[in-house]
Amino acid sequence: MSANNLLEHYKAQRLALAQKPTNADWLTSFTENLAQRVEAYGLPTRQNEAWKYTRLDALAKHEWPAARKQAIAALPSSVAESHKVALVNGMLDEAHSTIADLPTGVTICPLTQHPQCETIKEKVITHYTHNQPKFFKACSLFEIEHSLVISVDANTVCERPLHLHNLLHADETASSHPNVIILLGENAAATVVESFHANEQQHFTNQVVTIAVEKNADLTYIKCANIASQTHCVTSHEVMVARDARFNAHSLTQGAGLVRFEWNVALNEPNAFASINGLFRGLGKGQLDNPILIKHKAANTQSVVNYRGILDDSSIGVFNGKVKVYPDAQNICAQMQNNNLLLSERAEIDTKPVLEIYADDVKCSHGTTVGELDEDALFFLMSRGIDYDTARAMLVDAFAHSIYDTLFDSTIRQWLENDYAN
Amino acid sequence: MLTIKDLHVSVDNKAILKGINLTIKAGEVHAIMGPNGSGKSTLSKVLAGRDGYTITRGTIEFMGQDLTELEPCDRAHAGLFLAFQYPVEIPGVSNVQFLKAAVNAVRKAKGEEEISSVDFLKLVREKMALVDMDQDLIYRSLNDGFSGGEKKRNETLQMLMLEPTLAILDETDSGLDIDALQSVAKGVNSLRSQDRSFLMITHYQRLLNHIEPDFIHVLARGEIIKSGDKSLAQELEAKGYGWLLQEQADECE
Repeated sequence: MSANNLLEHYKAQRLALAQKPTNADWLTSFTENLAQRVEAYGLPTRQNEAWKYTRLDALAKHEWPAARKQAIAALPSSVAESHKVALVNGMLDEAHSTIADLPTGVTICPLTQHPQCETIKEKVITHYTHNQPKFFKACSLFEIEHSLVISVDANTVCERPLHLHNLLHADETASSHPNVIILLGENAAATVVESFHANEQQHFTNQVVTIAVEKNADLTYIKCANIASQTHCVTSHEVMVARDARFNAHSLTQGAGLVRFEWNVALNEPNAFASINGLFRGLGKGQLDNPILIKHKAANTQSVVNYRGILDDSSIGVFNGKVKVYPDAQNICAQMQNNNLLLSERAEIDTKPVLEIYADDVKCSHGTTVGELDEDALFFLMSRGIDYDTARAMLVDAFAHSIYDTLFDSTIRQWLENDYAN
Repeated sequence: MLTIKDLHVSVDNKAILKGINLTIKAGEVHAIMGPNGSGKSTLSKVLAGRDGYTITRGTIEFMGQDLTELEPCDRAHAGLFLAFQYPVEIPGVSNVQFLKAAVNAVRKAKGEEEISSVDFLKLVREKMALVDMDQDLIYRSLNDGFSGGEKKRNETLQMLMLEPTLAILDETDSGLDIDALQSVAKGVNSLRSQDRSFLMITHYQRLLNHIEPDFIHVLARGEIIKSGDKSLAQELEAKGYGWLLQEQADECE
């Protein structure tokens, strides 16, 4: 790693956090362990398979002092009828949140203020002890105690969607670590929408979202980032799915910046289900990176991963997906598909769906396609009087359509298509 | 209306059309027949402006404009319409969204206002009934999973909605059952008028029984080798193309 790589400064800055005295033993030992991880791994390079196609050059050009607390004037548009939660640079902004009237059993607050703080801490620490984080994840987890927790108690159904606005707002170059923990108790159900918004400053956000979906619970999680070239967004989603539980995620990224939405989903108990429908649309010099790992750890588990990439200009898309079936995880079903559309000769897609199977009675499929706009379709539309730009836009939207079709909530779909994606 | 003079066209440096001359006046219905590989579909695609076809010689004039200079969408704005031999399936673009975009694009080019949703739906329903088309098809993805007959009905519907000045029907009869053929013919005949013309490209006389042409041309090896009135079709149906090809070969000698 070259001396002028300013990410080394970021690393030093994060390691300094481990030196700070804490008032809790759990935190001291947790951050000490993280510091060892950061030292041991160091910055990822392109020799590392998981980072082979991702260029961190833009990140290495700046120092990333931690963003300060900031006031915002107003929230961006929200999903209709949702409970709104505003995180500004990782800090809860209660003035712009509507969490006073949450239904009984639904709690949204910082980890340290949560009534079940001890149980949650233990769950999270256990998870990261067994799933040791690497560089970026570890750097982010130093701020575990400042995580925002969204919890839904057992047997509680949160009817209206929760809309978490993750706002990156600074007057100068800054970094933030807006960590989130989402917990659904047994038989609980909720829909969480989380969207990123950044202002014009250079911003690096390094986030870890830890999710636990307990027995027979049902979580729909729609995660989206529409960002410009000065925004760099590295997010890891660590998901644990219990017996009979369902986790339906949508990973929607677009823009000219760096977005890496990583999903590590563990189907820990029989009959757990997970789906991730993803859409990534690159513009300019955007880099849209999608590392995915689905772990079938128990029998009768099921997963569906379906991503579509649309890459224009000189943007780069990466789909690095793996389904891992553990020994004894018999009778599982896993599908993984990634279809891509390249709109420019300079655009690039690196796609690699992988199956790693250690059980013998499984049903797994994986596939990928890369194509261009269909000339025949373009000509057909134009021959009916539709101009080139409109015809092209219609075909691109048609390609994205099958991912939007998996959003069953029409108010969320409307917000996405009308307000957010444009 | 349409004047084609000495048109030579090649695809990948291979000459396909070798000197087509054809004049279509307002109100006329012309049919082009000919054996496989004679260049019939090439002619229709060149007229509609498909990429990949190089005009090496000759001119095409449509409504007083040099057609070859225009983009496919501008040709549609000028009043040209091609009913495709193989209509393209486009999953994700709904038929209604597509039709409305097309109608409004053509209206805009004419300096007219966009059609209101209410008027548009009323018009679509009326025209769908004319070609005996299932009303549900309007909300499906464009041609996606449509049967052969449904696709050709849909082509006819588009033509009825856009009301072109010159409609080119490229093998509209291929793959159609009798009912669908009659529906399509009904749609075409409803549009026939003094200032609208048709160019039908077909293998068989069958379509011509339903849509009567004023002129028939036989295209073979990239040239029109014979023209005549509708009785020529019966002669062709009875004798095939062989005698004409032989006649032409004799002339050359």
